[in-house]
Amino acid sequence: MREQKGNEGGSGGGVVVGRDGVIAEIWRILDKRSVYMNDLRRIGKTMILEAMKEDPLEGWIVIKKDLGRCSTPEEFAALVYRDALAELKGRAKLMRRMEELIGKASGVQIGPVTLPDGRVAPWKEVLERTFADLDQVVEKTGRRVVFLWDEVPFLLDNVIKNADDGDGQKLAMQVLDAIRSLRQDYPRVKMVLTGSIGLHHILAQLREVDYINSPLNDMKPVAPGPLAAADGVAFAAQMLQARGVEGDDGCAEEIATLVGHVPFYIESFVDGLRTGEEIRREDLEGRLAERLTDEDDDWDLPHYAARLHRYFGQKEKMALAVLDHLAREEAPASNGEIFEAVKAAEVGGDLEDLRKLLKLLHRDHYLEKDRDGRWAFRLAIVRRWWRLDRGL
Amino acid sequence: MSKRDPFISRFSPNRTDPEKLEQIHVERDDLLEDAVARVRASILGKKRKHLLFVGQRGSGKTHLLSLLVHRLRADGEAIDKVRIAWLNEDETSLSYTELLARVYRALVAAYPEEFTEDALAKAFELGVDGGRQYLEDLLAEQVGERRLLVLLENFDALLDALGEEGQRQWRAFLQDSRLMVVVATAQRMTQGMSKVNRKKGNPEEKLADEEKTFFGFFTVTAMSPFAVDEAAQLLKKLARLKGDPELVEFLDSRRGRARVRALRYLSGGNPRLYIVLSEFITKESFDELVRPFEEMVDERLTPYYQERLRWLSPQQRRLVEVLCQSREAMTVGVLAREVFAAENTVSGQLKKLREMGYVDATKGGRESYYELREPLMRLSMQVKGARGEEPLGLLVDFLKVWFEREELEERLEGGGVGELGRRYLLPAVESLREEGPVLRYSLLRRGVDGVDVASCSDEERARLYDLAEETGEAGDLINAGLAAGHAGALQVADGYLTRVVEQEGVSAEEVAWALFNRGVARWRQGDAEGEMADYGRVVELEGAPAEQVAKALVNRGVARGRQGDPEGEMADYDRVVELEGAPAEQVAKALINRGVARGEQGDVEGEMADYSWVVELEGAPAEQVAKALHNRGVVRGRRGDAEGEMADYGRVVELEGAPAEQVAKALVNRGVVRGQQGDTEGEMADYDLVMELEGASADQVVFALYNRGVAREEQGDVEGAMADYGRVVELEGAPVGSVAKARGRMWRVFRVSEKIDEARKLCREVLEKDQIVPDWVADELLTEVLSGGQGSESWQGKVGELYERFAGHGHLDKLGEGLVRQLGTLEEGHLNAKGLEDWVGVWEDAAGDNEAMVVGLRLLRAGVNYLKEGQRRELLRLPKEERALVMQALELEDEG
Repeated sequence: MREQKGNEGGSGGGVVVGRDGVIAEIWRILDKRSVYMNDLRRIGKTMILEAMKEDPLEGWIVIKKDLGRCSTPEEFAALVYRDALAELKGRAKLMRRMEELIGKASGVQIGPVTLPDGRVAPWKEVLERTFADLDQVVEKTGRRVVFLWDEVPFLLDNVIKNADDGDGQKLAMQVLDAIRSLRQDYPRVKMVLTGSIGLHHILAQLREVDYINSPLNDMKPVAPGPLAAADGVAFAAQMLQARGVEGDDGCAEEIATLVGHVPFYIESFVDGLRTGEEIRREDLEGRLAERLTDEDDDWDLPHYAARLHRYFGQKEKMALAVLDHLAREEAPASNGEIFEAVKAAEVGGDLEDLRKLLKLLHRDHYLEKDRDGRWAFRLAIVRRWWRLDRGL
Repeated sequence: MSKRDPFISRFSPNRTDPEKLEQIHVERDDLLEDAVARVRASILGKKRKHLLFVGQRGSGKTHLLSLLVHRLRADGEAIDKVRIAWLNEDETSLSYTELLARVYRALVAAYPEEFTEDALAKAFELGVDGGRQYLEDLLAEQVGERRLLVLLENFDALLDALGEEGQRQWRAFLQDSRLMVVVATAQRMTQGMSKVNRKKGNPEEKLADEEKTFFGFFTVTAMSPFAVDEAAQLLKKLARLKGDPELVEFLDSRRGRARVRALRYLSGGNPRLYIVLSEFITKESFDELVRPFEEMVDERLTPYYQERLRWLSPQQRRLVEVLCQSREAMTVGVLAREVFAAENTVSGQLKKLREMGYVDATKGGRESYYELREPLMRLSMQVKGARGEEPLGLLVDFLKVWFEREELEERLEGGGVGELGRRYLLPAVESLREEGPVLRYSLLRRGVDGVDVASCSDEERARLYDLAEETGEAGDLINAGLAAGHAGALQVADGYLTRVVEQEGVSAEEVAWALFNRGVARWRQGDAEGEMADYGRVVELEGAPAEQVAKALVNRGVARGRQGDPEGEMADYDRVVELEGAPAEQVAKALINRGVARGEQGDVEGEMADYSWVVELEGAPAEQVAKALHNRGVVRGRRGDAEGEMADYGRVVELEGAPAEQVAKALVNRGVVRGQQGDTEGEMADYDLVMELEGASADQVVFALYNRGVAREEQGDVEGAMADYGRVVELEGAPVGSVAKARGRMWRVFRVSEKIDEARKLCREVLEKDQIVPDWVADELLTEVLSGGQGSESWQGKVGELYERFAGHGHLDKLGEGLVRQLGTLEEGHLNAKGLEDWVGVWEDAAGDNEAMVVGLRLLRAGVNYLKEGQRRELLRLPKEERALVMQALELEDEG
């Protein structure tokens, strides 16, 4: 056998570094409410779900699924039912209400859930009965159930695109309302919803066709954010070691700081180093700049600029002026300071417009606000890229 | 092709014996080892990493996958825990369900005892949705706790075919099952690799939708084209494999390397093309190779590139076609003319083509030069253009670049070359007969034409060496020699220049160039005799240009001067001055040097005359005139002619084109003279000018600042003076001696104004920051200790601290010297016998036997003993030199 260099074991064997606090917080919330987890892409939301699935809190049954696979409400309902059934393996009799609907389940379940006469079972009915059965499981076994549903926005988008003309948006609204009803009717069965893109973008799309409900407002929002500084450094050190990269003492700290303690960027940055390479702390900033300016790089930071138009429409120029100003400034800036910069950029708008825009930029995780109400880029790496890309 | 040559399949490395692939594998940044390690970790650990390799056609992607599988199969621990599905690269999948079916089918082929067609058949009965679920479950069940490694190529095309829905389904399975590990290859790091909502049939289109299904999912590695070293490595491995030691030897030579470099431009660094072309190097049977080569182009490459061209807009396609027809890189302007379009339009389209991976741009001066990224595209376009019986240009070019005319003639005449082979060999031979290997040379000259040999990069220097080796032309050899000399590779430089000197038929001018520069290289190697001999040969060389002769004479004169032969030196300068056709610059240099030499010989009149000659010399460069004026000014000053001196400096200041350094020197000197003449205002004005002068060296700025500080101090402007001294200290690049002087002035100012604390703070700063620690630092700090109290207890802590401070910055010797100088203060009667004993005792305790302090402490002990006893015999125990130091400190007269 060929001798391998010493990075067996990959990158941490599935352990999620630095997320214990967020995970404990989610479990604590789940005791009372369901959770809507929303944050920037690659911040590590799916990893958090995986860790919860891997190591659930005592007394919880965890069902984790990526809903991007479902294109219709029927598929979604069938998936939920099958997941529940699979989780209760050996105790299928607990699914009494579903059994009343479709008869006794046997063997591998393929395709949509069907009624005894072969017709497709109504999807809302399937969901409602599955949840009712799970509620009884909680009642009888004392064990709680939580669905960890990833890529909920993809599900809704698929539903919109797959339905017959004009029906898609209505169907998506129904799915959202149904999920909300399930939470309200069976509060002992909990959910954690998340996805790569913010659900609010799908909601905004639905609002344009008169959707007036608030399908998330009973859920507790959680934004995991980057790792704490110490955890980011520890993660970087772990990655460097796994990659077999030698460096000065401060290299892990420098890497973590440069990319704003986001585990994805830390890992990807270290992945870009060669196995056995020796690195120096002072070279790392340059190495990062190389990646940030490499047109072929897969970090895809340009989407932070590209999507502004779609997200902010006519306010795009004002958004650019705000982000340019904050990218230039080392310290966080107040509304007044930002307004001065916006005025100097001559992009129009008054202070009230600015306030609204700042809220939107906050909601989309471009910015964060400190205790004194001052604004700064949420991720150091995005600010760094912004400066390079915009030549600031 | 593989029928005739089953040995290495160019298009299907996965059907080639992996052992053979291992033998020709060229490591690029540990790419393969890295990939194996990552996949292995995904198989054995909990976390999965999906890998994506991106590179143009023929960049070695399939080769890499083949070796990855080969090495995994040899890994006993990993192979049991994985099932490998390597998908046929020519098939595509229109849905995710179909992709799963392909995966399963690949498993049936690889593990027939575990996976069966029967099990797969059921999927087709269930339709697309049912089949998907069935296959996911089936794979999960059958693969079980193991991993499923899926190897697939043309990943970009697959994602296009799957569409958004299929991508999301696949992603969900990857996320939820944790079963599958994907290693994929793609030809482009496409914007759309994972982007949804792309227009069907136009995978190059960039859309604004940023929500990518597979964003951040893959660890992406770019397979860059082979560099020259890597290409040489590959060709050597191929030659070894084919048992051709002569070729291996040739590839190890400089000329071989030069050929590989020339080939690099033809092949674009594409490994597959190297493999294909290498066969024409090693195979005798030319005809056998030509047909499969043409087939490869006709059947494999052309359809592919035609398809890619179809994706482009008409204007983009036209630009690519023009670039296909050109062997040279082209500027925007030239391209715009060719297609009758506006430059800004063409520029915009080229930018898009670059982003899409069709073209590369290289900066050359103000312009960007564009060329095709993939040379295979040019090859295929030639076919598209109804080639008929025309031979493929690339292959003819290859023959012209790699072979000498004689070698090809030998092949032609040797018989065994059929009609097909002759179609290629004949045009190559004819071209070589008519114009020689101009193509090879022009390829090698790319990127080094007009390069500055004094400042070229390592890569450019390597190219210059290769070019010189290949052409052997005197001009190229001289450039290589000069580049080597500038890089400090003096023996290499000597070698190239010697080849020029010894070559027949080289012009006298080139020989003179080579000899002169070899002389310089020999001087730098410490070979004074060799140096002078080379200059001498230039001087004697018939037909050598006067400029070269003059330069050689000037340099020989300098060398003779260094050797202590002033007469010979001056004789050389005389010859330059008298030499017909000698450039004014060389005459001026000779005159200045002769002037200096005359001055050293005491002939001040002669010296002045030479400088004056330069000043009047028509055509003398401003730099030489400035030097002459400066030197004459100095001499005039020495002779007491302050007016004349200032006038000369003034002329330097006014001289158009005079180097900033010369002007700065003149200003500093004039400032000093003006000061001496009592014109303080004028003096300071000169120093001010130096500080404003762009290009003035740090040295001159420091002199000006320091001098202005002194002048200000003398004017009573202590604050201004201190500010100037402070600037000297802070100035980056200031000479350490000047810094020490400025610090000294500052210390004196503090002392005079009785700012004792400031003075001592300054001393500590000097110790901490400066390289030179003047005597007053130790004196001041020792005084501080002495004046701060009396007796061991009082001194102990302070002495310890002072010792550590000096020790910490490596200046204990200075402290030792200070202790000896301090004896004079002790003598003044401040301390009684016990106090003296305590003083020396405390130091002995603190410094112990530290080597740097041994002498100082010994002298201190002797001095204290003398002070206590008043007996000179205490001093006589010291060696004479040491005794002198103590006596000097105690201000004792030598009674001897």
